[in-house]
Amino acid sequence: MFVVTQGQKLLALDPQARSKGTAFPAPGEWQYPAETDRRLGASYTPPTLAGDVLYAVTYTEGTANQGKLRALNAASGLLLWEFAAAEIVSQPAVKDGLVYLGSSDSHAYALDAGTGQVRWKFKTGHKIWANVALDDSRSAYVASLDHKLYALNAADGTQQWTFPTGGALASAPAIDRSTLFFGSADGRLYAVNARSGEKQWELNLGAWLWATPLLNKGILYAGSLDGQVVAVDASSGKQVWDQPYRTDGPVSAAALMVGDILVVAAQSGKVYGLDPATGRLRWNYVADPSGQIFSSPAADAQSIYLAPGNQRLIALDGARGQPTWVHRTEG
Amino acid sequence: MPEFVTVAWNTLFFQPMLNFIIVLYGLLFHNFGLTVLVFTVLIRLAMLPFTLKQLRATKAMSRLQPELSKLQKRFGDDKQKLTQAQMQLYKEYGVNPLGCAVPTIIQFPIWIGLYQSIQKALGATPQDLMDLSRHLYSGFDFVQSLVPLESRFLWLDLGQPDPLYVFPVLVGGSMWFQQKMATMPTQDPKQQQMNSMMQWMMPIMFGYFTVSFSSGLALYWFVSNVISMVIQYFVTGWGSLTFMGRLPAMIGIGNSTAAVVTVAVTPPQSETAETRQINGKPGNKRQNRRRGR
Repeated sequence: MFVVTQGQKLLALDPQARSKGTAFPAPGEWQYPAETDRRLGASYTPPTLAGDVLYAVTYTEGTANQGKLRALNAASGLLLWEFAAAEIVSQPAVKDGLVYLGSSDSHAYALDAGTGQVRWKFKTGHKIWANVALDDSRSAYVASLDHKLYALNAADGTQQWTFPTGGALASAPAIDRSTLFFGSADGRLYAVNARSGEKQWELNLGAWLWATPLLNKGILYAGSLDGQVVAVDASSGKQVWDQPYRTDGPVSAAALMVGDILVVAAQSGKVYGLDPATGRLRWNYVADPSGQIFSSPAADAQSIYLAPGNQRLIALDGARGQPTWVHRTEG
Repeated sequence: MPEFVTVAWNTLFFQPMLNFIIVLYGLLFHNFGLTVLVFTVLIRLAMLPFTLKQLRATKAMSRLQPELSKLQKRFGDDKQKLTQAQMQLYKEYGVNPLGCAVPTIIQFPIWIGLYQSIQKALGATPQDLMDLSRHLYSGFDFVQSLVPLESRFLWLDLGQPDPLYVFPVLVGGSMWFQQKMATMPTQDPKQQQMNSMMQWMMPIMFGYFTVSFSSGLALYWFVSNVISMVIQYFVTGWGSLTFMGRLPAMIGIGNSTAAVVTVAVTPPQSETAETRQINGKPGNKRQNRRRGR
């Protein structure tokens, strides 16, 4: 498990060792930078693991308005290469030997995964905070704060089509075969044909949609910044639940499924386990009473892993929403 | 701060101002610098009645200065009698000393609201943008469609302080000139000392604020100062900025350098009793008004 802490360290953690409370670092665990007085920089984004390489980004480093993408050996934490750009919020996406990344300098980049050299870059009209979404048709989808979704040829970065919306796009689309689903700051959820860029349907939810919607068994689950969570039929765009579930804070993190529970984290610091069929509450857990949850939780088959703003990494039992272990990070 | 105060402030003042500024930005070609300029002009226009009242009150207070000095000499340490006599004098001349402070007091919430609006509207981080969404009027697609705003104007990022320190100098300098114009000449040494202190303190203070505040707010202050100077000129003239009064003659325009002005303070009813002599000739009303006498 890899996590970037608020203390600006990248940690490789062994969940088994953490559940036993073994002193850090247990065998196989490491931190980057290794020196206690060095820090990475502020980060909004979880790292991406591709093979034996870990790709981690920082938003800014020091006083410079510049973030970095680092490629590290996932086993040892040794730095392989690094790439500097403007502030980076986008999580790296890796496919066919390329690392795709959006930057606040308005560019989407494709870098050589082995060396970090730029293979191509594509300029949009504003910052790119969303991850670059990749599908099987060799297309890359770039959502920009300039209100547009761009479809690019993933190999060379040439533009295939664009889809304009009425608001900023802060997150990547979810992809289901030939359809892209994404939310916009215009308060609408869109379904767009991935090949042609034509709209299939739109649903006005009346509040900013920030995170990538979760697609599970033909149902889309989306949270909005006014705290609503909705379930929408992916084929028709009709709401499935009797009414949206209302959390007690903005939802900016993507939802996820753990077993048969829909897990949603709100910025209030509370995590909700919902019935995906009805939207009824199964459990909730206050991960950080005074803090916030901005990053999306991670999960494996049974557990949910949260990194709230109170310097803790928390593992929850997915079925009951109870903590199984808590690891306190430095800073 | 109590929660209800924050809610009231946001609902009644900050959010209307923020949304108005964003609408203005949409109408002004998505240029936030131009938006701040036009916003400043609109605010100053809305405040014009108060500003005029303030300037007239300041002018009247200045005219009363010799009378007030006499009262101070007459009553000495008897504060109660002095206050009574001063109030009587104010009443007699129809002067409200508090009238001088109203525009300044009104400007404080505007500064705070504008500062908040600029910080929120031009916020650069994901948290800033998410936070902005809470303050935008839902249902107004036009407002939502303008976000995120472009913060670049000339060499400035209007959400950040001026990196070249040009605006601290412009704000401090324009405020010095404006203060100098606003200060009416006085013979009272105490008043002169006070004026002199204010003359330097305010520009230095605002220049210092400008170093660390967003340059959007600095732009507001600078434009606002320039507008103040223009209004001031038409109401009270150059004030203590005497060299500016001589400037036209120094550069060979007109013949107003030898302005000799004698003002005898009299009740407003007998305005014609004011003895005025400009360039040795009785000045017409328009000339006198421009010279602030």
